[in-house]
Amino acid sequence: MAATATNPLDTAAQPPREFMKHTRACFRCKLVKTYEQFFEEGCDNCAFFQMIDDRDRVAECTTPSYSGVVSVIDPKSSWTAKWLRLGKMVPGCYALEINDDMPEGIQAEIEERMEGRG
Amino acid sequence: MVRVTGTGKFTKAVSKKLHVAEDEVEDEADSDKEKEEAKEEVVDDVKENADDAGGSDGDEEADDEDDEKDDEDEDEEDEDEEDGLGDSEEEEEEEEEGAVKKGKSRKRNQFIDDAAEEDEDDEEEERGRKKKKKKRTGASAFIDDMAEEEDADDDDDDDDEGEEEDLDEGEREAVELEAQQRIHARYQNMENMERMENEEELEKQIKERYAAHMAREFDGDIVGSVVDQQALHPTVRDPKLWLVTVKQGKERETVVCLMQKAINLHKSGKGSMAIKSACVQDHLKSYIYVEAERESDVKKALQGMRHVYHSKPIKLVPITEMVDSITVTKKKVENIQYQSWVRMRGGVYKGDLARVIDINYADNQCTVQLVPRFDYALLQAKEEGTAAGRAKPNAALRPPARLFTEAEARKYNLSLERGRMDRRTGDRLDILCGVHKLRDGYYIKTISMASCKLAGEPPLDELQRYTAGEDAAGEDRGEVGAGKSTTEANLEALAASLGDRSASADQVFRPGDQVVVVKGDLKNLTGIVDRVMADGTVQIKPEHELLHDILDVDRENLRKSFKIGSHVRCIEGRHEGEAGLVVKVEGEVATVFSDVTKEEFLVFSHHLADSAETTHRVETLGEYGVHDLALLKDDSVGMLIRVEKDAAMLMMSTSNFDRPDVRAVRLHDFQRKLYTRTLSAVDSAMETIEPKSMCRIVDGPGKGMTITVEHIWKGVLWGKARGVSEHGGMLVCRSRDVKIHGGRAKDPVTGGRGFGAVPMSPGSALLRSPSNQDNGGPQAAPQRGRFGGGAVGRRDAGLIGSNVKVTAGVYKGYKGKVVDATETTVRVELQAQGRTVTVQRTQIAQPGAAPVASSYGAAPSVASSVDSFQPPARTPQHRPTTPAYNPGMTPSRDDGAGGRTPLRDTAWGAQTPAYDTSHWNDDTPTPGGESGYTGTPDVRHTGTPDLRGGSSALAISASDAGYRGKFITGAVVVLPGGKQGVVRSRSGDEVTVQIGTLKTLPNGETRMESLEGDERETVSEAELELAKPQKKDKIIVVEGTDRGLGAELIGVDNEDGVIKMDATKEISIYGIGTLARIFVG
Repeated sequence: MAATATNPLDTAAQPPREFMKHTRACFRCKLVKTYEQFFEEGCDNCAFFQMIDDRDRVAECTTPSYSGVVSVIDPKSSWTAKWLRLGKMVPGCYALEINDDMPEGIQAEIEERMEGRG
Repeated sequence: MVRVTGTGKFTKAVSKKLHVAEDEVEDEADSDKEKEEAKEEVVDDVKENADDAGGSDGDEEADDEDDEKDDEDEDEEDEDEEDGLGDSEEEEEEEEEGAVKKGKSRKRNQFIDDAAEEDEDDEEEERGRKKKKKKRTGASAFIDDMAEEEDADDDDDDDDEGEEEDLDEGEREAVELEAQQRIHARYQNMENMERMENEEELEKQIKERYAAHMAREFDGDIVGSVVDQQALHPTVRDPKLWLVTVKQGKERETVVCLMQKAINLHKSGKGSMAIKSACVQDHLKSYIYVEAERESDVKKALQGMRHVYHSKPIKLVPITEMVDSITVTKKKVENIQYQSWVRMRGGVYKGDLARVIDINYADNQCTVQLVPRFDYALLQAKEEGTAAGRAKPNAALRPPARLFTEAEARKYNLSLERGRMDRRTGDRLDILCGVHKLRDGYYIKTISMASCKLAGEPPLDELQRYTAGEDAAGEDRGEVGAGKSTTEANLEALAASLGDRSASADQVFRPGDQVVVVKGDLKNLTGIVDRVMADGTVQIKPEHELLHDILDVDRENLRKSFKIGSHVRCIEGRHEGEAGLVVKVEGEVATVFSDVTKEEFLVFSHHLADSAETTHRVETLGEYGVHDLALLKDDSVGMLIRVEKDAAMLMMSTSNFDRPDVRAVRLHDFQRKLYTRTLSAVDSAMETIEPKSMCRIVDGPGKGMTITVEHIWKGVLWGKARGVSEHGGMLVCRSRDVKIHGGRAKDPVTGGRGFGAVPMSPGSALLRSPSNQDNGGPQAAPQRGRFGGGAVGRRDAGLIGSNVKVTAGVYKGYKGKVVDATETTVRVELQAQGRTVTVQRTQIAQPGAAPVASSYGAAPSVASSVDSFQPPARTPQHRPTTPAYNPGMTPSRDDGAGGRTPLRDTAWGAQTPAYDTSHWNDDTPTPGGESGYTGTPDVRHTGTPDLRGGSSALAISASDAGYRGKFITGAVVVLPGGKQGVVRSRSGDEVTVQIGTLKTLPNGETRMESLEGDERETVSEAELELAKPQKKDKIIVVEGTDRGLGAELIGVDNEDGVIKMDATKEISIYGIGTLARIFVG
């Protein structure tokens, strides 16, 4: 097991406070939290979505339509995380799959950000 | 630097080869030993390689450690070497081994390793330069890394002297050259390979390597990643997946709790969990996957967890199944959104359609707009605080859904607050009774999202019901566009509300489809689809005077258009498979009149296709077709009245006219098809009913209906009724409740009087005729006595085999062959239907001979219009069927009293008096008004009025059967001497005429006025002439196709007579010579 100086769990995203109802998954990184959690903390991976204190943004950037949950405890060494391409995400609960189409606006936003960084 | 990357095979093979070769060259003596070592090395390699395949970055650190260890070992060995001057070859081997290992592991941690390695190399060099160099030159070029080479070069520069001391210059150069060449070749080879096969992986590796440096603020985006997923397949080096049994329904909770536990443990500093991840699949009940290296890690992590079945074994997921275990096939799940159509799941609104007008994901709630189902009486009671108001609403009673109106509130005296601002919807709402929010008559309700579900595309009629009140409400608010009919606006709104999804995306066009362009420059252009291209564009042939070229139009811009009257088939939606005629087109909505159900329905035009074009027709479900009778699994029986997409609508045997029991039955609920062609039942008069019989329902629901029997099963009849539109006109009744048309059974009522068995002689029939009672009673009485002895069902062989036409009754117009005949009825094998029916003798005519045509021919139509069956038609003609018995039946004998004819009264009205007043006729039918007597009257009662012969309807009497001449019985003829008389009988060419008295009319013509005395003369036909009829005379046509039909002469135009047919009331023109005046005394 990994024994790096900084444990990834330091940065772990809060697991959803509920299990079924009211949970939503981030369109980009699939992080699963409750609506309120997104509202209060935003997405731990996708800070640029700026969901904090913005209900509309939360509704826009997340979806309740996802299936399966995976709790990634150690993203770096987990094969599951690697397979699901969550290896670089913070530890936390993620959706296995998003069943909703990403809104075009969000898609564009992500692309823009990619380029900006690229 | 050289990297020995992923695909190690090549490298390995080469290295082995070289290795062996060098060994041979270097030291033959040690070759055996070396080979052994080589083998070991290969084994190691393989092992390592297997572990390394797929390169797990997660293992980086571990590997780093290993590598470092290896390097240290090497160093130690080197030191040993130096010290002990041991077997150099062996040392070399070991070093090589180490190097190879390094190379192998380096594919994952190139940079880090190299850094370490270089350091170590430096150290080595410092410590054992000479030795090493010597070794290098000797043998191990092939394993060397670039790094080492470079180092070596550098070293050369640095330490030239040292080397020169030990080595011969030329030798060194030669060896080095060789080594470099080799290395170069290998290097290139590897590079090529890398380029070809591993570019992607390399890229990935580099990315991953630098991921750490790229820091958290940017995590490389996963969405657009180009890395091949294949490269991520699990290897033996990866942690394993373990299948853990948990309590059903708590899978997700367990997984989330594991996460929480990991965080908690970490925060509290009590160490960390060794599991890597935990995973739950939505569809996998009571199992979760936990990823960990060891089973013990899983167990440890699960310790103390609720919902985990600790006693159940933890199963290892085979490596081949790991991918499947955590892969979800992406399925498009629609979720509730703003403006979605939803259906309520429960409560009083269960199943109702609603529109989402607001949605709150945080609370998992949505606000919907419903057509209210208020129980106003209850609301009123509640407001008044009466006891009834506290009662729970009756769950069984569901108030009807209709839009709220203020009138309703006033009616029940309910409080209504108008126009209060609502925070949630941001709109002004009306509040009824302080709680119920209303807008435009709709009920605005905030519900949990779980209490409704997506409705998909709601059927059009339901949408219409939903929007039914919108026009009214909208007009009040002035929202509906002026100039547009509200319905149209509605339908458009509907179409719009359903969105483009329904309209454009899934439209299928076929060549020949009539289309209209709905968007773009060519809007409203109609055309015909010429070709449908693969890319979705449609080539249309425009229908425009100026446009002749074929145009390419996007599918999205086209709609199907159907002209009124075109025959279409519905290819989608609730009415799928139904065919019908387009009767109305409004925008995108077409009204179709169904062929099967005879009902109109509304459908979007894009759900229609030309019925001839489309093969998509649903008329059978398995072997069961429409109108088949089927036995179901539960032993109930029903007839298919409609076939839908995957179910058939069956009218069950338990239904009746008022309450049809129609069920949708799926194919697997069918047991078998029932064949009822040979089955029969008995009607209320014990007459046999066969399929295709026509029956009249005389009792129970649907009384008065006439049905054509389709199926008979255990006393239940399925029949098609005219004038019934529901369920394709099909209805169900008991056989006991019907009476078959054309039946000859006695009437149950009169039969009970003991007179029912009276022989059905024509005489008796005559006697019972109303006419007789009215004015011929005394006269007829003796006749009855005379003929009263006839046997029931006496055969009349004379008619059998002849072709007849049915002139009245339900089979009117049918032609057929007589297969059996009695005095009263004949069995006719219908040409058109291939079955045999029973028809009253009075209702048949023999084409050409016309002996049985009714002089009352006009009766049936009137009668049937009044009283949907035809007794009067039957009545007149009774006697003609038995010529032998009817001497008294000549029309002349009748007084022609019109009062008894059906023409002037309902059939039974005419007979009522007979029944009441008759002093002799017990057997006279009861009028229809009497309950239980509405059925077909007994034949014997019916066959009478014809006795009167010359009443308002005439026909050739039976005594003329087979006679083709003009001088039919009853005709007024002119004798050679100018005398006139009435034909009484014929014998060959000789005609017996009863001479009547003449009267000279003002116009100089003579006319027979009356018959007095019994003077008779017999003259030959040739000498006779028909007396010229005069206006208003009763006549019979004696030539042509209408021969035998009675009529009234309503005008004379030279040699043409204008006549009005008794039977049809039609006006015809005949030569005056073809009309025989019938003397009506």
